Amino acid sequence: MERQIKSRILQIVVAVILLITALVVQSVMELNFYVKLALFILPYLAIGYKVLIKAVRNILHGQVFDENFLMAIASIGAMVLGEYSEAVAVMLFYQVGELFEKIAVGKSRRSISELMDIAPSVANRFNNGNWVEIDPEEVLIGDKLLVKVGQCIPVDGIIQRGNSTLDMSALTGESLPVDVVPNDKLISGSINLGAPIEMIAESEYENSTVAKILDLVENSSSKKSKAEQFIKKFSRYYTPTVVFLALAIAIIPSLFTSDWSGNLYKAMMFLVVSCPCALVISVPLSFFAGIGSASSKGVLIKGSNYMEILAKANVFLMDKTGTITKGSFKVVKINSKIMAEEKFMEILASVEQYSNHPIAKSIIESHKGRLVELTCEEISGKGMVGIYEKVKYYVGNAKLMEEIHPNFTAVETVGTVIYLATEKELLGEVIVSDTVKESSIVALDWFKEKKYKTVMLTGDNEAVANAVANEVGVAEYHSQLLPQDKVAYIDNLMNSKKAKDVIAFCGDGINDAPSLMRADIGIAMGGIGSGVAIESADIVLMKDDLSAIIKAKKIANKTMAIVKQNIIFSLAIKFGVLFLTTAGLGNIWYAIFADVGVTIIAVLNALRSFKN
Amino acid sequence: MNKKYTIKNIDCGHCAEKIESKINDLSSVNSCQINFLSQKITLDIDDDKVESAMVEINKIVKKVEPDCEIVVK
Repeated sequence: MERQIKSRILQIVVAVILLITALVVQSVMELNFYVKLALFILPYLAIGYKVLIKAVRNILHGQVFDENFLMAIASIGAMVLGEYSEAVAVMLFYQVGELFEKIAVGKSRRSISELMDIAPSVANRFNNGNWVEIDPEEVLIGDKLLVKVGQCIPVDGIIQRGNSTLDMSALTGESLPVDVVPNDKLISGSINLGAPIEMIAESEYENSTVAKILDLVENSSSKKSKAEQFIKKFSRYYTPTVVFLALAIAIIPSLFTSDWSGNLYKAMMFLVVSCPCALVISVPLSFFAGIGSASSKGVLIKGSNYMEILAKANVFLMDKTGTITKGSFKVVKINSKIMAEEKFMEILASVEQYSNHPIAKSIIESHKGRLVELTCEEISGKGMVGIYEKVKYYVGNAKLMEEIHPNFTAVETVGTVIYLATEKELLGEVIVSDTVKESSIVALDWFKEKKYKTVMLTGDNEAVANAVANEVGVAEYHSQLLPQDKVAYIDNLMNSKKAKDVIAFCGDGINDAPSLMRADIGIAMGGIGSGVAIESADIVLMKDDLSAIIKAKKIANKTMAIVKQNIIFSLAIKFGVLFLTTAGLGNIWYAIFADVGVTIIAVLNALRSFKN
Repeated sequence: MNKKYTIKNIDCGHCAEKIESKINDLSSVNSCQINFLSQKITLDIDDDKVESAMVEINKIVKKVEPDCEIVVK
């Protein structure tokens, strides 16, 4: 590529020098026809010989509407009319355009290969007491692997030995390194920054996260957007039509008037404008660049058609647990009535350490102090009882408290309440609940600002749904829905929506596969490590973060804006020039601009999609 | 058979589209996709027709764009 570009630049420089020489000589002295022809033929051949050869070859192969052929005819036509400098200009600018195109394509390919750079190149397998370097594709499930500092995790697996930090930015777009300890899951494609780690492979390379992501990005161009399909169809008809119009304009008026050279000149300009290059190159390039830059932000878009739909999406349905909320319980309030909070929590956590309930785990997690070993017993469905410093403590729900203290009244709140009491008195309670992700509030604020409709769908009860909806600012919510109720709701909405409404569903991808598929566009969260999510959705957010939709939507909107600008701009200029030419107002420079100028501007515009 | 190869020196999107549609017209090829930007060609050909189809495919590629070449690893 580099060498080709250099030789092309050289060719252009030589042709320009020869052309300037010819123009200077022509202006200072009277030339006879043959000398003049020779003077201009030199730069013409210097710049155009390859085009001419290709044109002839392609005609022999039966390919008529080839750009080389069109340029050859247009420039030879100019020669015949005695417009020598124009003939050279047609070829020269055609080549400048091609050069620009090559540079742009090279640049996009480099950006894309940077995105693709997450593929691991090597794995170190433990074999007969030695570490042996192998290809990641040779790794088998259960293999013991060593990942050195700076190396990429080759397949998904689990840490066996060593603590380290991982750079997962290529996967999630999150620049903060992640700490890992033995028994933590490792996602292929992350880079080991801290210290060497030993891991056990849990997947083969082709089923690992990194292979799935690469496959997705590479194949995303196979799902074509409406804009791309339009361009494909358009270019199929546009070139032949313009060429026939050129023929018609050269022949038909010439039958009635004798101005055949004027008509031929018009026909020539038609040919110069007849290539749809500007659109054929710039539209797919914009989509590819958009999809590429989204994936570097941790958002995988499975095809340019989904990019198009996302840009139009204005109704966002969201799952609650795991999507808006963290999906894990946390102590949100401690209310110790008699003793110091620290002591209260020590007793509570010490009792709860003997329970397997997820709520008990969240209480132990929130307790920073020591845990005391106790004799404990479970009271099924109600809680625990334990002896601490010779006193009997009861830990459990309202039912348990009612049994011990007949005049007990339960605390009214959203979330689960766990009480601590002795036989004599109630000591206080903690409130445990699922917490809202900060990023959900950011995302919903943005949706509101953009006036998109938001609806939360949840299987949880009314009180919890109401509290979460108020906290994050969801306009509408529906509670106590089973997975099939969610699908029914979406079905209903899809059937009754207005034509311009586009419905997106965001869920965690595991329970919501049917909903993801039913909506206009399904967005799954937490693609990391979950093959199900990657398969069932159209867009995958690699991080458990609803605010990534903002980035994705911005990229989609920008890409679509660029695509629209390019289509409208290119067509307006091309048809404008065709019109001016027909009206007898155009000249060859307009036509060259409508071809090469427009292509260059459209490609430069498309490259903006990379900068997000 | 579903195979992915590299297609080298494919310089214009227009040519890629032409090659793709001509290969798709071959009766021995079930489907063909060319990704112009990542320079990849994905072919779906029945196992018993692979050899003859590849000959045809290479001919098409050479005809449309003589500098182009499919690299089989």
